[in-house]
Amino acid sequence: MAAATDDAGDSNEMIRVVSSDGEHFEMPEAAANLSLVLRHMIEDDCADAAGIPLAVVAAKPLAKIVDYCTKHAAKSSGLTIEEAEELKRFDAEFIEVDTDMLYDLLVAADFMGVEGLSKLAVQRTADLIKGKTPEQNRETFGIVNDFTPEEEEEICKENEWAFQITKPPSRLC
Amino acid sequence: MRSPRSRALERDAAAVEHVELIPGMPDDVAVDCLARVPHGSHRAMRRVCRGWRSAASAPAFASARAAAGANEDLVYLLQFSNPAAEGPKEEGDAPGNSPPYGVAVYNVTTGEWRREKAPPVPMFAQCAAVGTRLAVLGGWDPQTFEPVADVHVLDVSNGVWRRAPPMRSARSFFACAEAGGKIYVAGGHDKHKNALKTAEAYDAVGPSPPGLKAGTARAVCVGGGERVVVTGAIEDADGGSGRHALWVFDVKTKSWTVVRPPPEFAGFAFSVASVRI
Repeated sequence: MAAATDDAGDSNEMIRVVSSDGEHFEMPEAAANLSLVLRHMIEDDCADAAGIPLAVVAAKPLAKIVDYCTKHAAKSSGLTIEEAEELKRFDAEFIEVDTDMLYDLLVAADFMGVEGLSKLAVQRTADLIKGKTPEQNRETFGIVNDFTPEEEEEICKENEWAFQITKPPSRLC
Repeated sequence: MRSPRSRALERDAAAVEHVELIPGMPDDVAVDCLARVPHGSHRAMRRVCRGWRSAASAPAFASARAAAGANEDLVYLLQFSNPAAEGPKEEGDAPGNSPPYGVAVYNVTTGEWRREKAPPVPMFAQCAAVGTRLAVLGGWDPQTFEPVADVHVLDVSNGVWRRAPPMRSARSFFACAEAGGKIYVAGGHDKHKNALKTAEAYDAVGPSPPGLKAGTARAVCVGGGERVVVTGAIEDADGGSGRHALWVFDVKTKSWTVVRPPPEFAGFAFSVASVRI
């Protein structure tokens, strides 16, 4: 079921976008409207047959974003419980990507102003960090441990002294 | 496709002075990600690298968490642990020396329980919080069973425990409550199990509630921090202490008012709470 009465107006019209590496994609206007940047360009009549160039978004993430926007635009309002559940499942599967794709999606969603996708990707990143050891997080995100051995020791120690009782133990008679 | 490792190498090769929080990701986006990680993982997060350590401790982090709708409510409980119910020892615990009295945390937002990693807390210590800081006050030395005046403060926003200036008196079983950014303590026992008649504010000694002879007193903050109400036994003219009363401390004028309840309400209050409607 298409969301017939949203603010997309002529939602049958297809919008063309071009990735940084020159690939062309098409999506319904309602889908393109989920991107703040695309919406502004459409409003300013910058959407033509040549397609809107997206200088910093490569084809791979752009394909995903078109997929995301198309799915979400088709189900934008008046969702039944089942449809909301289905959209949730779609999101969960959609964001099961490797960290490279996750970064690309984060950066692209941020650049294109696709709020829902930004939130989804940011939450996915937070979920990857949650419950991990420092070493696991370094591995996942390619982070170099830049603490000096002295700092490491200090961090480990920082709570040890806190609860030493101040009074010397007095003898019980 | 670039791997995280090759991205890190590229970054090193470029010898840029600024180290990205997450290589390949703008820092504002990375902060947004870190802000959504639940509080239970923050300690491990701060040990990843210098960047994460400072990002997850900065005051801006609190704003980022609020903006992301990621705030969590924590309830701290000081309690004896149940050795029979404890699972395998956590790393860092000395074998056979697990703290009998410690800090438990119930996360109201996520429903999770955990034990706050803290060295042994004085037995029967009391706690109160100001903002993101949790103060653990008084209680008994676990070796000598004598009351202590120690105050330790956990800054929940960076996970660091610090020793704070001690209370003027060593106390156990006293009343304590936060009001207007200060913690007020009143009553309790000294080391001879005598009832303490004094009250003090956590960072400054306050005037004592007149006539308070409470052994076990209770306190509650009312009116969003304008006043503190202490309940306990009141010393009568003849030195007796059968009756109970309320003491209302006005935070602004720093003065106490004694409220003697009618006889039918003069029993000991085991617990108090304040409601504004």
